Amino acid sequence: MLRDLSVTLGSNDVLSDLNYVFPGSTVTVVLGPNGAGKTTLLRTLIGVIRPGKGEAFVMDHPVGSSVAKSKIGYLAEVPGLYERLSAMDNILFHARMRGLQGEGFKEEANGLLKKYGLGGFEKTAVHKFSKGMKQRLALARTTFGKPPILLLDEPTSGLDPDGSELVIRSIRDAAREGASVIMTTHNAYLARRVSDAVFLLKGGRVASSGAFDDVLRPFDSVRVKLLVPAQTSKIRDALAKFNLKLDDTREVGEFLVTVSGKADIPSMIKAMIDGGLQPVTVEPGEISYEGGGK
Amino acid sequence: MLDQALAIAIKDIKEYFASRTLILTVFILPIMMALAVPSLVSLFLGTVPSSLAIGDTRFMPPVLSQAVAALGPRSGIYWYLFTVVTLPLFLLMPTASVIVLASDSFAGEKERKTAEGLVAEPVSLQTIFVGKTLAPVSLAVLSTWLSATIYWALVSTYSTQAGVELLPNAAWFSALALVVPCLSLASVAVISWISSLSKGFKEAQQMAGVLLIPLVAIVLGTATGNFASTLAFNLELSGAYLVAFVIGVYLWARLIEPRRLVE
Repeated sequence: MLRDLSVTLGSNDVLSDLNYVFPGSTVTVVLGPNGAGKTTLLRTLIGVIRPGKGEAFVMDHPVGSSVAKSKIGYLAEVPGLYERLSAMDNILFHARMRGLQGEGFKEEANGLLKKYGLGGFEKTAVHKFSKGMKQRLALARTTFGKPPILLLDEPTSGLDPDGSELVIRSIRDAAREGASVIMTTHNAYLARRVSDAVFLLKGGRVASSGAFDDVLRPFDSVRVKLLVPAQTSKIRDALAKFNLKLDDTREVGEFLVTVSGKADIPSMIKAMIDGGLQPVTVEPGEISYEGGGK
Repeated sequence: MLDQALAIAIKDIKEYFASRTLILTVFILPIMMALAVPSLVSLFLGTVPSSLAIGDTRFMPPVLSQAVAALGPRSGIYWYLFTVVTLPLFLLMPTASVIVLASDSFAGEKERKTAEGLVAEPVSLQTIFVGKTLAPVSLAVLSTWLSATIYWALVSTYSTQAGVELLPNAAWFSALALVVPCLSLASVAVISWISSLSKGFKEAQQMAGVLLIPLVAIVLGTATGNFASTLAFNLELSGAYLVAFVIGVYLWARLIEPRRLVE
């Protein structure tokens, strides 16, 4: 819960008079342009940054207190793993800091490593991992012990589509099991898929909050991934209707199509199918923060 | 709190042992020094005459001339070189080790971006400090004691061969048992401050070089024969370092913002 929370770093007022109660058992996505204060908000909730004014509580405990921290699993923007240590050592160190020790927890750590596709790498030093593997390990560490609150700063950063899918599923699973997830992302598609609520920050203030579609208008543009079996004049003609040109070298094309509103999307997809194109995925385009917020 | 501090210390020690550079600096170099110094000095001492004219001691530094007068030329020179001149080296060793290790523990975590996760753990800054003190101090003290043991094993062998009986005296025991741990603690306190205000461990290491200045004064004092460490001096020095450590820790825990450990 945020009550008149303000944070000043140096001479900059990064967060100003935030008031918000994050609902339980839901995924809240904190959105906003660069410099809006998203990471600062998470860092304040975890106690890395002390509030300048106002208060913030984690399950009725003041932020920064050991009790409040013990309720939170935190994933920073940079995974922050101990690269000279093994994957298992990283998780067990985190566990020990939370007073979680014993064979049962080691089994849980093994289970999490397997869940995040890192089975067989328990004893491997983390510096040998790829970026995606590190991010998955960091997520495994964050969710260890099933903390009731998860703070995730750009959790899909550096992940391939399969890795991102795994993370999305894990976030939803965690919320289903009762955790409150508060996360930041620049990915509108991810935000829309995963969020129960969004919290829009602009210039350190709450611009609006609520359901994704109520807060933002992400469908001014749509990214369409097409499966193009062969180059035919029919397909070129179909693309031309949308001012698009087929990339000669690609079998799967990815195009940004601007529509006037989400009501136009079904007719656009129908036109594409009629034209011989096979849309594989349709995703929201970049979020326009201007005009967003109701 | 103790269990978490121990977990931090064990984690840091595991990280040290995963770095060849750190282990080379902290263990291999002191051990090589402990082997090389007595061997080189004993080569030089092979030329020392068994008797000296009174006039020969006139230009000797005070500590050496008193030793020669009391113990005779050979024993006096052996005592002077092996117990007086070399003792400050065993104060420089832990200081250098602590500079390297504590910089890695404090500033290194900041540079490797792991500090944020550590600060986010449900532990106080004091617990983090204790853990990050235990790791470098224990290894620095252990390395110094190991080197001193090797050093004295060699010194005893060489001096016995020369017909001189030499054993570590109260100044040595007090230096190893008290000054080395207290000096290491005080060094960690200084480095924790420097690391909190610097951006990376190399910068922290360079700034921590100031810790060597008072020790260089002791090295110069003993090397010029104007000063010999005693039990009383070591007790006072240990006390001063301990007070510096306590003040440093107290102020660090009260004044340092958690953000300082991260950014």
